[in-house]
Amino acid sequence: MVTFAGGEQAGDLRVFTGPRDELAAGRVSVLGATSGGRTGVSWAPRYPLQPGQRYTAVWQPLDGDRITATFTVPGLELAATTRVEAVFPSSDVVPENLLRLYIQFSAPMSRGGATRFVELVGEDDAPIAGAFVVPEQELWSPTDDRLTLFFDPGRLKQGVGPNLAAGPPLRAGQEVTLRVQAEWRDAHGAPLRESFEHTWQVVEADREQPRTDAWTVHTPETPQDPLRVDLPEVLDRALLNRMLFVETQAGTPVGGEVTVARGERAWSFAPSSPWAPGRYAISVDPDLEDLAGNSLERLFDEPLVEDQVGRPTLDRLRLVFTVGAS
Amino acid sequence: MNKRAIAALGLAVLATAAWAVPDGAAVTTDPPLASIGALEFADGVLFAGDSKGGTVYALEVGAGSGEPAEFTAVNDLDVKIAEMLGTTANEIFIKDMAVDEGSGAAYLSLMRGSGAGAQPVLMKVTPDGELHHVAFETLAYTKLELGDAPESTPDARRNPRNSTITDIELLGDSVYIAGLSNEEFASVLRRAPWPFDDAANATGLEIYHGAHGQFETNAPIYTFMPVELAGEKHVLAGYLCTPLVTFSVDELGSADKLRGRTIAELGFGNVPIDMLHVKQNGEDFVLLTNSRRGTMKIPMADVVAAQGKPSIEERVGPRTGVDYEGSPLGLVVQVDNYGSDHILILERNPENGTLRLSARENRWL
Repeated sequence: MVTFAGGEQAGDLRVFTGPRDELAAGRVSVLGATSGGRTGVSWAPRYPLQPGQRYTAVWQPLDGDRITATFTVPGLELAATTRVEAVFPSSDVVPENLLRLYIQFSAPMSRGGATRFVELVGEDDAPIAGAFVVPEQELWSPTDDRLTLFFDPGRLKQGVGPNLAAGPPLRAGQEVTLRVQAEWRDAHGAPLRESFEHTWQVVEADREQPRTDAWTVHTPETPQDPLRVDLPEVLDRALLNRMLFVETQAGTPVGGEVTVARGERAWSFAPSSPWAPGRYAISVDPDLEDLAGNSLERLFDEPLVEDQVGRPTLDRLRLVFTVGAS
Repeated sequence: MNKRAIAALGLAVLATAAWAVPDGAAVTTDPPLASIGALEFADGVLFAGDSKGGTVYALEVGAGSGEPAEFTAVNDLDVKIAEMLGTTANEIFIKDMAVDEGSGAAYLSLMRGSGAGAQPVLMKVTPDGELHHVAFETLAYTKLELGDAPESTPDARRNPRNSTITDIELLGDSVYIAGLSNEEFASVLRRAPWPFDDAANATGLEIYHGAHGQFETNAPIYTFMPVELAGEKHVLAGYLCTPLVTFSVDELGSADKLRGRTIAELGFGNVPIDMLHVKQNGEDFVLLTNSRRGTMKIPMADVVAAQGKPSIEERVGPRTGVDYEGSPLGLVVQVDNYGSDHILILERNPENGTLRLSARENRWL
């Protein structure tokens, strides 16, 4: 709120961005509402004024000379506290046709940094140009603390022009490092606490669908034990959190906490209350994908079958297990 | 996308449900947008995608009629918007533009700020070059929830699933919404009946596209528009990196899974941003703007002819199928039709980086 105080006042009060000497004819004034009262004339901004920004208020009283005043909104004290918590896949090895990765921050971030502060470099420290495709609107989680980066899908799809012309962004046998620069600003405008690096060995392309029959389910031995599943291959971190549920045999969801560990090859579930003896199931969404975007239902790029589109839609898969004597 | 231009081009003439609030029905105002992005204008309604809130809002902004007046160019548009919003131009993030061709008003969706205090803002530029702030408080609206806002799953630590709405089109009595998920890669083209009904949900459609007769992928569509091919309504869709695909609207009505026809590949490293129908010297073109490959002009006759040929089957270079010409446009940020023979372009000045909004005659495209 900007007020020119001193007795009952009215007249035209406007606020402009910038110092007084930048005021030129025809400049647009800042959106706000003016109100006159017994103690002065006031102006309230429509949107919050910007910390660190200089403004000039211009008041033309009904009678008398124009009065101007310049003010600066105090800047915020910004401590660098936000950091990169993890990059997924967190494994050491990724396939040549890796489809996406996630950068998990400890706090919400500002948008617009994906092409400026993230870099993928090879063993020679040279940036791998054009590895990612960053759309106009970056792909953030609703809480703004996780960024998804897609590798150029045109270069991953087998046999299409970009794939033939440029090949996949990663090559088997290569060692690549993802670097996140500390200059990236968090949601409050503070830089990161530190920069971050993660290195992967690139191996042959993964062109096989994940299969639940290759999973090893470790049934809880006591009512307090978590249910543990060992996965023979690394699966997508985000989807592992969302696409596996535990339910009773009757199909009622069981509440609990999911933990994903060992480079996304171990999934475990700790129920919120101890297991009651009986039969349960892990319910798996067939859209669950591996690192190359191959799901339980279909391959990322599926051999084309005439007169059939995609694969017949799968129902949720159920992996049944028993706790205690049944 | 601009309905009148489509009719003028003799392409799909789309019957749109009239926007009307039934007598006595309560009008809801002040849409609670968490963010604003993709826009579509049709019949006095501005559709606005709120990716963060997982919702499409239909904002009743009203429409003008007739051919729009000559447009007075606006220089330094981002600077002027910043001045009006009390901030600096580097805090103004323009997301999309849609023109009401009756009144000639250009609506711009933008975010003010990029961090914790980021706010959605709707601005309007009238043909006289004046900039107006559109207050949400008084706007009547209906909405469609996409059902992928974070779920309140019992005991789940967090559910960061979200999809970014990249394009919205009203085709007949359905609204189609293209989006990119921040988790699964698969196509999330969604359809919902229009006008929105609280009970109706968006249904997901799986649109596969083939590559060289050997593989098919269920990739996300980024931008799309209606076209008429062999007398039937189709959709022309642009994908990431950068296949162009057509599929039939009739098939969309009966199947939840279908394979489109890949008619071109426009190269890697690129996102197709916007598509328009334009008429130039009596010929129809698709004007396609891109993130990295400039603005392309594709003869509609070639898109039509591609339907009579097999899908791309040979393995060839990065540019395959229906060909294009480059259009002599600069750093295009946003584009929409402006009357029957102009387009409105928001472009970045290569000298100082500021934005200029101006009309361009189609014959210079």
